[in-house]
Amino acid sequence: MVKLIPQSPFGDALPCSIDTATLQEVTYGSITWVAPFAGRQVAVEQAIGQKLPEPNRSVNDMLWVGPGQYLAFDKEITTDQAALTDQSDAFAILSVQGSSAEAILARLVPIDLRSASFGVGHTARTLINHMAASVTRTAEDAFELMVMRSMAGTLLEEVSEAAKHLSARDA
Amino acid sequence: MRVADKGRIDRGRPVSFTFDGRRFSGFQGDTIASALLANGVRTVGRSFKYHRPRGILTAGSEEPNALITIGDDPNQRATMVELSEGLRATSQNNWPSLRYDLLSVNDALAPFLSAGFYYKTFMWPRSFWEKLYEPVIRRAAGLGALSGASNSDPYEKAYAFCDLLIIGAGPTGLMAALSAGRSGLDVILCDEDFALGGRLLSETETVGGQAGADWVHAAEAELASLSNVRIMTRTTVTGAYDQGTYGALERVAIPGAPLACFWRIVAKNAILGAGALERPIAFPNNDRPGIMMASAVRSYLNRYGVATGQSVSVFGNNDGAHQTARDLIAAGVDVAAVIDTRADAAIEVDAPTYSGGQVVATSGRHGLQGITVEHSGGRRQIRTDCLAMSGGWNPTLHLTCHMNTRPQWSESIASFVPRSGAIPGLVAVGACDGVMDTAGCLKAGMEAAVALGASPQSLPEADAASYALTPFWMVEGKGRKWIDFQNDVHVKDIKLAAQENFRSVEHMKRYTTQGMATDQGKSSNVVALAVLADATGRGIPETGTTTFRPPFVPVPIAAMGAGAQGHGFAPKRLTTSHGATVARGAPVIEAGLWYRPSYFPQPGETTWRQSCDREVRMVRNAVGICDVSTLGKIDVQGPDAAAFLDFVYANTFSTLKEARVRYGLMLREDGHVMDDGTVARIGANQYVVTTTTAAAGQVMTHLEFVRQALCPAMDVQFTSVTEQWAQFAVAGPKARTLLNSLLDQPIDNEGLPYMGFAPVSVAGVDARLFRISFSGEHAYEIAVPARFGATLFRVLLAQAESMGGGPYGMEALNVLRIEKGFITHAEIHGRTTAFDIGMDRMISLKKDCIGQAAAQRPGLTGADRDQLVGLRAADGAIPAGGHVFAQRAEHIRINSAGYVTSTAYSPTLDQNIALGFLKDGRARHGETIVVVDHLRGIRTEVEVCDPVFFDPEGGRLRG
Repeated sequence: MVKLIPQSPFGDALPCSIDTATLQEVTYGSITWVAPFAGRQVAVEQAIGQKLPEPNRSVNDMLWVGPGQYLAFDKEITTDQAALTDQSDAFAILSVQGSSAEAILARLVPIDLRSASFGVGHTARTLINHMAASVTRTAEDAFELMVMRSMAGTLLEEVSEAAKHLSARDA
Repeated sequence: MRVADKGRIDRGRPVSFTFDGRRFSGFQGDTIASALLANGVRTVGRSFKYHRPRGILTAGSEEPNALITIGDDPNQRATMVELSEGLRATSQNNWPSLRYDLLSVNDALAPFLSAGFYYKTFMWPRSFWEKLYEPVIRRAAGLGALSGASNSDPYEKAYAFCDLLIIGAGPTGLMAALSAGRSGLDVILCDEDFALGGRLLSETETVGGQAGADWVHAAEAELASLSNVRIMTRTTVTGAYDQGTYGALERVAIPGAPLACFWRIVAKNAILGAGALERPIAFPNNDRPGIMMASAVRSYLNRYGVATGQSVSVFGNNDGAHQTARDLIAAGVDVAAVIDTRADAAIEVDAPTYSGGQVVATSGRHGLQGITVEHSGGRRQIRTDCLAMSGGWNPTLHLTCHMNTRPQWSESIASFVPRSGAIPGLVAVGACDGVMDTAGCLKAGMEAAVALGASPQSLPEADAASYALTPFWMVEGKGRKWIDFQNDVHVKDIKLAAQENFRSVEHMKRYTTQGMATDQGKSSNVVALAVLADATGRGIPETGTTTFRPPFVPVPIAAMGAGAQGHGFAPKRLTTSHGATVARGAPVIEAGLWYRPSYFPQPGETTWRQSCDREVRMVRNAVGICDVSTLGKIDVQGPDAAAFLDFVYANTFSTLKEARVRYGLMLREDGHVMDDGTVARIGANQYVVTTTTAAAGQVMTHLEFVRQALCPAMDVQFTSVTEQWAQFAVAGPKARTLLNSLLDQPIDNEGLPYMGFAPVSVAGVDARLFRISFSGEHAYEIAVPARFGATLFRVLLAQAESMGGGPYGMEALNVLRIEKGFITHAEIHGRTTAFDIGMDRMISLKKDCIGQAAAQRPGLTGADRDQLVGLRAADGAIPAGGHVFAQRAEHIRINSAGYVTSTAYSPTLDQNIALGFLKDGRARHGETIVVVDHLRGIRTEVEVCDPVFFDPEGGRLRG
């Protein structure tokens, strides 16, 4: 009998620490892409029992990822008021945590990540070097980075190199 | 020579380094320039054109002469390179050595090598320019040379944001930063020096009752304690761009860390406190090593504890220059003379003084030995080994020109000052705005911060001496009077430019090369303009100035492109089967950003063709596995999903039944083919669209554009699911047998016919099964959530191999599809229409679609079009890219009747076959034509045939 074994996009490279930064894979049992059909925003909110996040915000287990588009994490959603697509395996998700997290990302992400402008719960569709990405601040010293699953290796390389460069300055 | 008890170097920490192989020693806190001067080294390089010995002119960023190579990095300014243990510095532009440079013969030939010489002399014979003249001139003239090796040093790029960017940490910038920082503004303070303070580190004046440098240290300590102030030393702001964006180059100078970081700083507001640069005076042979800027002589003395000569003279047109003599005397250095061009100058210095005097000649080949002074009392020879000169100061206003605003002339300082509003959000204050006293700079810095919301601060007491000068540009007399030291431009060159009617300042610059290269005329610009103004009988304001463009200092390309070298150029997209693929020794090729296997070599196979042919036969005779996850997959849902697809595709999808798949052709607005692929209807209002690997992004963007701009009323949603699914082709006569050994519920031909779709499960995992074929065989594509891709691939391979099959790569995939006449972007390359590829009947006229109207334009259909055909050769290869000619036609461009797009050896047919386009090709099946590849020198006779070479009835697909 065949058995299919799930594998991480990062292989066995995580978790790891570089100086004060901790890199960890973030895994979810399910990720559902939710896009309410025309004029059904409110109906969808009623169906899922919560407000959908405002643009550039993440609320509880839902993340804004584009105009009228959200990702729901580990959340059972049944509604015919929205397009629902299983994206549980589509992303490589990396958490960067530590006092240097913001400075590491300042080497890769071209937007203003100062906590005054990009606080906990703020999210943006932006770039991580050359990769399209979703960047979310999950804590004062932690960010979650989502890229296409196939780019997991490049994401890890980019973040690690930035962290090492930063750490070399303190040497 | 070092002067005891002077300078801010750390004498407890000696540092050793080499220059041209000779070992020297300096101290922590030295630059290479100060350390060389301390060791008595005066000649540090040869000049650009005449190979004249040159020394250190300045003590800062504007240095035009002292360009050296550090390790492998050429053109480093010795005045900016901090000394570090083991540093290897070499001089440039000389052979065989700095002291005996053979090309200094150019200097003897100087009368023949004036500006414009090259343009006039090397014009003919014309062909000699590229072959002879230019290479020879390039070898003779120049700055440092690159090593030729790839740069292995690490560099960084980074982004920063702030409310207030303060550029320059002299008295102006420091006072602005203190005011803004104390008031809670989010501040970035940049200075290109490795220490804050600007001129305060180099002068003996006091601020707030203490030594200027001590006040700087106190200010720095306070700023460092403020969490809202970020201090960036060694950071040169190199350019001002739109929307408050600034480029900045940080020299990191920490062993093991990146050499430099290129910052993009976005600031709501900026204060430019960049100070001013002292300018030279043009007098005969004013370029000998030992002739320096007066402010530089003070810097070396006061900051680095170095006397730049044993007997120093001073030559200037302003009171500031006198301070140089006073500082030297106070430090015990002999001052031979103080010469001031102003007859009424009051020179309060305890040394021989010459009011109304001029330096009219100098002597000393490898370094200054003496000067000749002419003054009211006659001529006088003076023995001196260092001459400190000052022609006044030019505001460092370069950044204010970066958006095309030219500066304006200020009579009071005889120089240009910035125009206000030149850069939106930036205000230039202090010396870079023409305020030349410390008290004025402190006040201007504070006021600029207050204007941005900072609260007023009390100002420390500081020097408020007025800046008195009388413009003086040039000494008349025999000998070359150098203006642009870096480009070897002297007064006569500029006069010649004017004489030959290159009177515009921009023309003069190009004619003489004044103001070009790495220093961009920082020292020479204003003097050059003054000479040009004089030569053309105009005032300086009428003459105008050339402007400045970014970058302010040279920026290594490696810093701007940091992170993008080699593989960093683009992200790598790896399939879930990548590990297994590489483990099997398959070479991978890039397709889009993806890495895909070319072929899977087996023991005994020595060429790719052997592997490829075997893989093709394997698929035709047994079963092959190929990772097709890289194809774009888009999930389209909504009440209007069918109508939307009908509009974006040439053919119809609203009529497609559920659980069925249809091939689709997508056109551009102009009627040409954009992409092709399959579309599966997996629910009443849900489709899965596939695209080619290369066009996945383009199609997604196109769909988004169509929805937002062309069909805003349609209720449809879509998202890419390319990454969600790992998808594998299972192709060959044994495909179904293989799948049935893995599927939880077996399939059969009735349940899943050709072009059918079925949800299935593998080992309890929900999967999708499409019966589609790009090989012409009975084939499927099976998709599982990506986390299971790696194991499914291994399981599929194991099963396939037990059945005489195995994996196949891109080469075999290509041969299989050419045998079947299936097109790729080699054929739909952007200039072909549906008619050209024989698919015009797919454009449904029962509905509107993108490209439908344009595809019917005259000229896009008909016998004149190059049409898709098959080509088969009895003998010889058919080169891709070769052009086709009628048999008796001469093989010249105008006779070309088409071209070859895809070519292969078909192991199935044992023949070389190809796809190509031939004028009126569909009517010419059976004709013999000639394929000619002039590039590779190949000529092959081929027969025109139908593009479907194998199984034209498609029986194998349905088997």
